[in-house]
Amino acid sequence: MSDNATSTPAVHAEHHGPNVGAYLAVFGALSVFTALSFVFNTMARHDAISHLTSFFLILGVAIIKALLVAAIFMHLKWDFRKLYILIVPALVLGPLLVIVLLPDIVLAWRLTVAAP
Amino acid sequence: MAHAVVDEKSPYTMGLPINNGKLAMWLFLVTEIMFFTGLIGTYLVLRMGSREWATPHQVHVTEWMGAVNTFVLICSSLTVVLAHSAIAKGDVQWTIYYIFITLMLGFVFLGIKYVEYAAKFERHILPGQIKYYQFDGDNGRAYRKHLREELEQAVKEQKFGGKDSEPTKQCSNLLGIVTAWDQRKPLTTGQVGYLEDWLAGHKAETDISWDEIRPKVEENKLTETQQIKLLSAAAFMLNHRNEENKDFELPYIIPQGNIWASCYFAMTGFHAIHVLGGLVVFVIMLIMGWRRIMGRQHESFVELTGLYWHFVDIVWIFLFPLVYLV
Repeated sequence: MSDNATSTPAVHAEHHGPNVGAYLAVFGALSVFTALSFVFNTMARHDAISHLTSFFLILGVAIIKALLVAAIFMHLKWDFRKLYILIVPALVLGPLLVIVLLPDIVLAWRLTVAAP
Repeated sequence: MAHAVVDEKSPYTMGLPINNGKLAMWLFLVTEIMFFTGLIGTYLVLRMGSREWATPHQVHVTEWMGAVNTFVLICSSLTVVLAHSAIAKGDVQWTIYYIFITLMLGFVFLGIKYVEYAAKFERHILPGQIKYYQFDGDNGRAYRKHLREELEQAVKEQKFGGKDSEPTKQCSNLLGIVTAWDQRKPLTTGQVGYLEDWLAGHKAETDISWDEIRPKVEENKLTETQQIKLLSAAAFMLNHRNEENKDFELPYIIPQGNIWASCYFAMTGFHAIHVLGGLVVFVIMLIMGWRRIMGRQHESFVELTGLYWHFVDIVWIFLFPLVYLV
């Protein structure tokens, strides 16, 4: 039964999969974004932008790159609606793992101890 | 019974509407997301929870090597999808070519990783091996004493060159600064000039903004911790200036160096093991191609390996900025 139920959408997805042109476009975008994170880093080192700004810009660039790889190279643009039940919990629980540790380890002293 | 359910077009179906192989791979990748989030999250929490942190220069992390490796992995991700695209069309020959290029790119990645690791081992930037890792407290004071002894020895025994040679003069100048601060005396204009010469414009390397700290140096209002930070930064920059002189090596502090090294090797090491795992599969594919048993029936095999490889790429996309840039 599961074979019957699953094979049709899987085959269906192949027809809507990306072509070589899309792959090359994503490759180009990834290269440009890598260069961009380098530029932001250099700007921060020369005090053109603040360290915090560069952190969020570089993190933003990394997220966009990861989304591009996941969406096109990993075919999630077509498969996500079939797989979200696996991926979404991990993407929620992963960051939570970090967030729950912040109050004790990071905020505790940052809010109470002045910088030297 | 089961067929009846499908035939009646019930909205309820068993399992996810995806083939078993892909489902299994994604289940694995989801556990991998949690695994790497654990590693990267630990690094982030420790880093944000530390007042001082090593700059990439202090731990001899080379940005361009990380950037090249990022590009190498991006290229390999492209060749893997092209391999999948080729085998979907039944073009086994091109599939094998693309897999071969991917394998080579993987080796380039690991080669660069090897060079980076070798530099860390050579300089003993290893977990638990870094002797001076704090500017304040006993560790900072022990460093200051050690630096003073090293400088005295360098000047007395002319360890790094003759009496009038530049390295010996630099050591003598730095020793003068340590001595003045040990005696709680203000620095002379000349000594402030030396510090400026060594530290100004090197915020990225030393995490010290000279323009901000200069008034405090001139007014002799530095705290003990700030003095130690400046001394360590000066020693580090002098090492940098005398790179060609292999004997020249002054001790310097790598703030939270041991924690940094633990995180660095845990994150990049596990990532490298994943790369190695991918390469093993690519070798298996090449052997299959060589024995002419690779065919269109292996499309799913190539696709699922590709999924894994892209995931390894995504992990590096986050590791690169975290370790090399910010």
